[in-house]
Amino acid sequence: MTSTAQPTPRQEDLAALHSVWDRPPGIFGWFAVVNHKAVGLRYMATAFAFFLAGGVAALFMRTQLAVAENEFLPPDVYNELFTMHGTTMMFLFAVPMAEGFAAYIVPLMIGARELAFPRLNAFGYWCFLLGGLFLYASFLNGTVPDAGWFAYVPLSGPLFSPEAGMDFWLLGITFVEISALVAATELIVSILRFRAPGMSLHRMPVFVWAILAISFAIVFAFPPLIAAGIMLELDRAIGTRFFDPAGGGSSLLWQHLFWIFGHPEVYIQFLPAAGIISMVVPTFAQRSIAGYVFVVFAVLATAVLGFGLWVHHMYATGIPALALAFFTATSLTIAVPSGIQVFAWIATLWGSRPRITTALLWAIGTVVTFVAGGVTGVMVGLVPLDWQVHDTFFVVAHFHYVLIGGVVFPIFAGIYYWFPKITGRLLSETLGRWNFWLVFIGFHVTFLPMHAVGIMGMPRRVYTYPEGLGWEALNLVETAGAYMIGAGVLVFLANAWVSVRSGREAGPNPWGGGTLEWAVPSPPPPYNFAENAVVAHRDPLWVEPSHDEREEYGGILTPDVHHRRETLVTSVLDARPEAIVWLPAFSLAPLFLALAVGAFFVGALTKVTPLMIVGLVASVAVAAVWAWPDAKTRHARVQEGRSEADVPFELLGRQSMDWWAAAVFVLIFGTLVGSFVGGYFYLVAENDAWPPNGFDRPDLLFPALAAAAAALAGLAMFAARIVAVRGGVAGVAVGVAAATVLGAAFIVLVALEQREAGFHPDEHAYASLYFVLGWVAIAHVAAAMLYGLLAAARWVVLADLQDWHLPVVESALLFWGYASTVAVITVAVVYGAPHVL
Amino acid sequence: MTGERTRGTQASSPPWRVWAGILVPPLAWVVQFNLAYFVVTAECQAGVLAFNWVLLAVSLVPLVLVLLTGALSWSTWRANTPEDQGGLGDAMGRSGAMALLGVALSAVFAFAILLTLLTQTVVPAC
Repeated sequence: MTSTAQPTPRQEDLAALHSVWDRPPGIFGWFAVVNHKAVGLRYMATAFAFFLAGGVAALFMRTQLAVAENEFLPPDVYNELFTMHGTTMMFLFAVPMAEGFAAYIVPLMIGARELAFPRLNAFGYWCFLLGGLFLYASFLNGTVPDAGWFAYVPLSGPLFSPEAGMDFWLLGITFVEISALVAATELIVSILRFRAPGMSLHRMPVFVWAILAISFAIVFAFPPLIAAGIMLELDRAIGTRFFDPAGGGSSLLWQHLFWIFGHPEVYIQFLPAAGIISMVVPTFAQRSIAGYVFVVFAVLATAVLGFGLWVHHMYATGIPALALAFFTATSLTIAVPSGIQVFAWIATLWGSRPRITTALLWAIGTVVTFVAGGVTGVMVGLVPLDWQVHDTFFVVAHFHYVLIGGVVFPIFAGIYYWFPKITGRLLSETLGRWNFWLVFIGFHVTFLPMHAVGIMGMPRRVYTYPEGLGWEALNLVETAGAYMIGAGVLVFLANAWVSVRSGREAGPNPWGGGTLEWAVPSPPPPYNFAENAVVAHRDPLWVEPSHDEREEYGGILTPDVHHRRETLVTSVLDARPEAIVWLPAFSLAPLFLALAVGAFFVGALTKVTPLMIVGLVASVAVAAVWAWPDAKTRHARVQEGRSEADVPFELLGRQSMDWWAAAVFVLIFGTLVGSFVGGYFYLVAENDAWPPNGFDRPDLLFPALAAAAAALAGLAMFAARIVAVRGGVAGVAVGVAAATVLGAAFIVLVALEQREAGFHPDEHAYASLYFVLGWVAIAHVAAAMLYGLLAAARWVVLADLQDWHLPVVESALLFWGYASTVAVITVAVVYGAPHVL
Repeated sequence: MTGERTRGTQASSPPWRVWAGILVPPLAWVVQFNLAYFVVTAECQAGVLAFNWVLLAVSLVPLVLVLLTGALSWSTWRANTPEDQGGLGDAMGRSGAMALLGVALSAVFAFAILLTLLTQTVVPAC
């Protein structure tokens, strides 16, 4: 049991808890489940299946390259395979696998019963699954993406990829990115608000810090790629000119937006993996991690510095020398926090008497391999060397050392470490060692020689090579190594298959771990913790809380659940108990919303407008049903008021979970809009005249009126909040109605101005931006209107509840404030900037 | 199993000091880095090749901000780390640990800004 040392719960209470948290039986329950463990496991299983598919693609490629002038694969298939291999490993394996670990382990590790938004979590999984299936459906269609995982234009544009392959890629990837963004949202809120009492930030496990850091990184890194994807899809579908230099666009804009996502993405993959190592090493060394504060520092610094490396991939594109030097400076700086983590792992092991398990072997393999990849990373961070090895197999070797050594090995470490927790059974150590040594040796046999062939000049992404260049022997060795890795992965599958059926029973804490997930049975019950844990140390199972701490914080959350899903909310810094919130139960809404969004995407892909409209309308309808208040539950909460431990059953206004989620969404959408606006000014700089010759400066009257309407709409909602605070019923309705009318006026004015523009979006990048930014503003205001109206409807439903008007209006106010700001800024950019630039 | 007993969940420093120490250094660097990149790119396009005071200011102001925040975190750390404990990690309370985190963040982001300043003295702009 947990470190709270509370009296043992009664069996009937535990049975009631179990029935409340367990999923419904049968096929309905399978689709409707929202429990974080079920969803996390699905993430991991699906991501691993994609890992196997990506691995098979790699084996095909290595077979092709085994000998010179091989004709095993034709060049076009080779292009498709390296595209799908990279796309699968980067988008469908590494990040979703980290999300799976996070979704499963983080609530257990922080002492929560569930994630903050279980239905959102389930929705994220369905988006990921559908996005991945979407991508692989391109095989069935015979139009597999073939422009590389970073889809450089013009190769991925309408001229050189006229088939549907890149459309599959763009839409599938966008779906997967939505999944990552909702996962980031729920993880941020859960980690900041759901930690067990006493788990102040300086006691949070390193893995949880890593997940928090990458969740914020996802919020800022993924929207630029979504923006770029929208632009590229518009270039392909309706002929906009964002990336067409002949029409005032720039192919380098794609590279900037892609790598502003792409380089942080590397750390988004690495940091959770490093977090796993930071859990595995202390457990098997049986001592707390050395230099905890500095390891946390390393995690945070790496996550931020990762945003200053994107041009690191663009050294050969003609950017000014001093600007390149800035990126070299960051490339060198980021080696410092990366090194600190490695030294902390070594220091933790140093002088201890570690148990050499398979999990620890993977961790040690990580240190060896990742350090080598880090050294070559510093090398390619230097401009002169990068120019020499750019687009050669040296770069391929480097990033596989980083990504396999720094991500895949730790994931295996995590699987061996937490498999007993998830399944209740230990993986076989004998098969585990075969698995490790085959993969570890196979990896170095494959990728070490690649450094040499790269320096010898062998280019990447070319399907074959001529004889007589001295590359044959090394390539043959590399291929043998790749098959060795494949054999190792097969051994792992056999191990998992055998162990899940007949492996040794694990018990709650087979490794003697110090973090909270080891306090509960293996596998954990659906409710995780019967009562709240109390934490007084960052390894809470190793250092028990004092009697006073147990008295102060113990027994707030009890097994007596009144047949509802409850978990404890605590303060951000010090994890002091604040409230017991009731979480939503199973639902089909997440699945239906994902299917509706998918219908919209399929409609876009197939250019079937009715399907797009159906998907859009269905998405809004399902979202409205999802968000509709459960008046019965809320009445019950208000009637009960506070728990037996004198903790309220709800948090209002800016303390509510809804508001926190809305705040993260605002950051996400704000970054998306920022990417479009940044793209606008990038193209302004790329063009000699703005607006370009042949285009008049836009009229200002209607846009000025529209901006004023948007600003007034935001103010109306602000006034509605003031009225709501004072308990005014009518004032809230008037405020929402005024904002809605003003929002409608904004939409009409901007739409009219767009209709009267006198040019089309396919004429020039200026025209493309003119229309797209205008519609971005319209979409924001329309979404805010819907949000406000939904809030008003919820307000009506809950009108008889005192104090309930504020949280209902507060989230809508936040979004309205954001949307009106976006509307004013975009109108100023689209209509004002051409007058002053 | 090692690890000293902790000193409860005391929060002796106001939250704004903790958050300033953790948030200001990375944010200052993000602003500095992007502004410096923008200035270099824009000026190279405009053909400005002389020593660049704008670029210097873009880096120096955030550097001073980061150093001041680092000093604030340092003083918080010293105030929250009693002589008899002196160690790192969970031996410290929340305020001390988070302040030490702020000190480390200030150091690395000051270093990153200093490196970009240094490059201006050795690398031609365009």
